[in-house]
Amino acid sequence: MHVLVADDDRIAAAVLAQTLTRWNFDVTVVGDGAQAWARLHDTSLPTLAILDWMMPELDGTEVCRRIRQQRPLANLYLMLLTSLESRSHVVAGLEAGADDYLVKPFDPDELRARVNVGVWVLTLQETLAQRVDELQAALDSVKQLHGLLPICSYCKRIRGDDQYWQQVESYIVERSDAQFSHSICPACYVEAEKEIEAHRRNSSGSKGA
Amino acid sequence: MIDDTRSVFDLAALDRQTSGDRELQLELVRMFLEDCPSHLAAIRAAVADGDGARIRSGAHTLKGAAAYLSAAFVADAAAHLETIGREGRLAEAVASLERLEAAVARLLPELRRAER
Repeated sequence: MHVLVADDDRIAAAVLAQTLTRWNFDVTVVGDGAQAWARLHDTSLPTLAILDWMMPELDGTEVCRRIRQQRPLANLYLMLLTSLESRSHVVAGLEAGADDYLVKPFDPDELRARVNVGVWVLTLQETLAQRVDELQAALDSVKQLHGLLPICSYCKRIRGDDQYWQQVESYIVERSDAQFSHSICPACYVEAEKEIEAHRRNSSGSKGA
Repeated sequence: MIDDTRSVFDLAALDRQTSGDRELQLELVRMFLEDCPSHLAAIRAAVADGDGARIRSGAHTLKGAAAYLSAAFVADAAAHLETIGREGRLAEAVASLERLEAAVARLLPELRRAER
């Protein structure tokens, strides 16, 4: 899992980066809010970001606000770092789009617990996104079956996207979870019975001759 | 006044903060020793200019660094100066800066000792 640490205090950044690296996270450190915004704006990976509240260029809350406005569907978990006396500002940070906050200097156990929550949320969102993709693919397939199908008027084969004509049965089986049970309808049964009877007569006539 | 009943630099707390990573502890100490003079210089200049915003941001940075080192005296003194800067109580800034410099003067020899 990728973690972005944004803090202009290199001591705070070093402690965070080393701690998270020890927990096997892939950590990137930046020193101001503008760099944090650029990284988060461009990434397509699920990312947990730990953003200092007070930073040069852009503060942590402004980074959160921009991310939520411009990348509302991005799989990003945003944590704000705040000092103890700024705790009253936590509501403002959460309203700006942060998912959680940490008080500086952080307690390692608390950091681990909060980061674990973030990882869980990111993983859950990733799983949901995959399910949505699967459902979308299934929906596309259903739409294709409901759409206009080119069918041969004589043999009733259907032309697929690959221009290959195939039996209705195999066409549907390939594009859906439908399964066929084979039987005979009453109208066809009458016709089939006539054919069988004629075949039987022909057979007995040829035997008699 | 500095509360003499507390240690200037809490090694046990630093040990916990860094999960016992001695190498990281030394790196943090080295960074603080490198950065502290420029942080203090920026704060001094802001106090001389009577610039509350710069006093606040400079003190905030030093406070954060000191807090991660578990250097409570310096962190507290920096927090006091940060509040003064935020609230624009510039008349109190010089005295608060002196308190911060005294705290730093006590801390640096401890850090240099720990670095060896």
